Amino acid sequence: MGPSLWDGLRSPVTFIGGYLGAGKTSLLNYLIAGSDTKRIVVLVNDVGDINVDASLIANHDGDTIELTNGCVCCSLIDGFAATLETVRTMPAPPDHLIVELSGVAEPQRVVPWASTAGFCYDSTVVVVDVDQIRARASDERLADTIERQIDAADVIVLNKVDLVEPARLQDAVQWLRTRTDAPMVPAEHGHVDPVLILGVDRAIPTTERSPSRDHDDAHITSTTSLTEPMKMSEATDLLESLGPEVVRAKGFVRAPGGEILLLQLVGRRCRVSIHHDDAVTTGALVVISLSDRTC
Amino acid sequence: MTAAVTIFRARHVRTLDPSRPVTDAVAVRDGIVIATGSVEELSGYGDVNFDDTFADRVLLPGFVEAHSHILEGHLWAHEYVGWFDRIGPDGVLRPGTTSVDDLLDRLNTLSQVIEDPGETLIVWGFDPIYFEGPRLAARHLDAVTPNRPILIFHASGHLATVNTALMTAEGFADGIEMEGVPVDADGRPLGELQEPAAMSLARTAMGTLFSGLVSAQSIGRLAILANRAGCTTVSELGIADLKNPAGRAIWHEVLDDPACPIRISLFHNAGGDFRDIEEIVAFMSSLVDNGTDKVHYGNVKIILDGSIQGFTARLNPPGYYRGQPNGIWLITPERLEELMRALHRAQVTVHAHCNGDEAVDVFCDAVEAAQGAHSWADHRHTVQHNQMTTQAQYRRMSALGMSANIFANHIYYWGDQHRDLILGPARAAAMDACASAEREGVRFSVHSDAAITPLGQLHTMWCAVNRLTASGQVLGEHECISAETALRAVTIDAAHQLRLDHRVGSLEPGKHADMVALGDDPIEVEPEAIRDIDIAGTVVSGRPFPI
Repeated sequence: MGPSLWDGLRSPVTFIGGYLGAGKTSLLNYLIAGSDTKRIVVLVNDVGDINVDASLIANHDGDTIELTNGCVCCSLIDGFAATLETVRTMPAPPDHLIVELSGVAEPQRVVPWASTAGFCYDSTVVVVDVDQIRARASDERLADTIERQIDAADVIVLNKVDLVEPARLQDAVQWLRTRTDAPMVPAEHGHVDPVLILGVDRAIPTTERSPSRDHDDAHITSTTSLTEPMKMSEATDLLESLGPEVVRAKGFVRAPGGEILLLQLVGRRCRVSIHHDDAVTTGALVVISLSDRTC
Repeated sequence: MTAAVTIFRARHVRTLDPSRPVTDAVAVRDGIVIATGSVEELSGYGDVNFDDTFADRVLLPGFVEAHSHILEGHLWAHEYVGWFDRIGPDGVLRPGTTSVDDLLDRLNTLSQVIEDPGETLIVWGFDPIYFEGPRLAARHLDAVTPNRPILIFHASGHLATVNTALMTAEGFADGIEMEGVPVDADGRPLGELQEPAAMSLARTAMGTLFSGLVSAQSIGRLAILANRAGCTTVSELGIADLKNPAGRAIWHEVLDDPACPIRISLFHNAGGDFRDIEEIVAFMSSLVDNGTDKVHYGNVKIILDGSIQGFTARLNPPGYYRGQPNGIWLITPERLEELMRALHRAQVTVHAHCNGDEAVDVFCDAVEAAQGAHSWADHRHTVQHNQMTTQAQYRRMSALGMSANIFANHIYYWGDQHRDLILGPARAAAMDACASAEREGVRFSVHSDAAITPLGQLHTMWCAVNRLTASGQVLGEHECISAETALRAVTIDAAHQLRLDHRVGSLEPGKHADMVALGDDPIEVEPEAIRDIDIAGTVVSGRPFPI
């Protein structure tokens, strides 16, 4: 293995955390069923929870489900090491790897897996049941676990907004805000604009629209030109200056010395690194923002 | 024609049968105890012959280990480098590795006998919590074998140290940015791999270390180690692959053979089982039908929290010694309650790993709810480890009919550390509180959790009776128990938790003729001498297995 795996390409990894019943599985089902541009591989605790239209299922072999759109669901029953090894045997790297965490898992403890061969860490998304979160967080047995999950989130999905009165929603949001700066994306039944969870492919400066989905205009994509060379510190400053409505940002820019810098932002976490592949389009930063900021 | 009766003669026999606690001999037919008594009495049971293999020893019921793992047999495919002396399946004592220099000497010796110069050397059990001096790093190992990859698997199971040759082979010697891989000023990894993700970077070596966990060889080594410890019934508290017939077949292949000197109780790990609850219940029901005299199914294991020394156990206030954050849950209380309700209704016994006292509360809550929904008086649900179980919790467990399997070995192996670093003197003294369990009427056993500590009931008894730490200090004198109680805890009371007390754990008519032959009776020696008693061998289903 080593450098020859997938010719050096790395699959971005997103962890989906959140307490039991928050809606992680609904989110996953929604993402894979609707995926038409990305080949997503999903790692779940119970493959039996995967619930997509039968017509989308190409093959169901024990603990692995293959969809007609190229997405694959694998079971985590053998543990991270073995399951990631299985993913590494795929001929091409997944466009995105999504890992569903158990209801009490603390994302901080599993994030290092995303740095193993063939993968790179994209983000941690935590799904919160807005109807239950205050009660859960008041449960002495669970409070610190719940808070650590929220701390770990780059993006929070506020699920089940349809089940609560606006005042209760605001209460949940205010409480969450005392604990995190992460952008909060409202959702019903775990239906979240995939662009907010998975980002865009490369740094293609196009506007994404999916008219057939029920979350039209949930996000706004804009492109900022970066024509002048930037130092790493300047690139970092730029990312940090983006407003709280920005969920994701990605772009490439030349540094004064000629090397290419990769700028990435997910939620409140930003990173600027040297990118070693010359075959990218530089000079633009694609920014994805929430269009409806209730939070 | 009825088989003949074989009378095992001994210096004396301690039966754990309250109607005749000490006697002279054991009469066996078809692998079953017919009776115990004097030779004269037993001669009346039919045509007799005599087995004097252990005639000059003391015979007791074969020891029962109600919390152990196949890992105890598996790791011995490689060499041990832990702090404490430890005897391998070959009967050879490995002296403890007590310094980095010690370790390097050991590695040097081991390296020289491996023919292939490129073959990875893997050793296990390294436990630097006990020693001072510099932290082990790749540079130390590089001095020993520049070309041979080395993996040191630490006793905690959460740490590995590797050398530069291994890092080069796996492609990260020049650097890697990853949590759990400390690097030097130049970004080169120091050789320590912390936690499973970083450890997986040593892909090949970790693969070698953990492949074939349940193999004929591993099971065979476990059987040998058990025989050496005088143990005739062991358990595997957590093998998940019982769903697969091939996964079960290997156990039968090795253990159903009368030449194998152990019986085992295989637990299904339901905590890691995310299937529909009814599916799990149906599975447990069908699993039981596969049981044989040597391989027992039917009990379930669930893990609630982590470990105290790893700071991952779930504690009630006041928590860890210096206010460190609380640990992690491995199952939600809701899922636990759901599982308990269904399993209890289906009359499946559940053993729950609870290291911290908050975890004990959550398990007791689940048992209480399950019992409230469906009545099953003889459930025997057991809390495993009980390191921090409190007086109030023992009272509650007693009222709920629960059992405790207490990790008495911790007092010796990590008692000093718990007192000085992890729990503080007060809580450490109350750790693994066997006397309190007894006083509050909770039936209990004591265990090794092999390979976490070595399989060995005499040593575990000794720990519970004397409560001496490795540095020789008594930790919590008020929790010492008598040798009689400790003996029950490694025989009949351990069997009871496994739901096998009608078959093993005492020498009574109708039960398996499983025995251990000792040089002395643990009830009759000085308490501090219990762990030094000589073990001559075991008998399983009436067949002697001298060491």
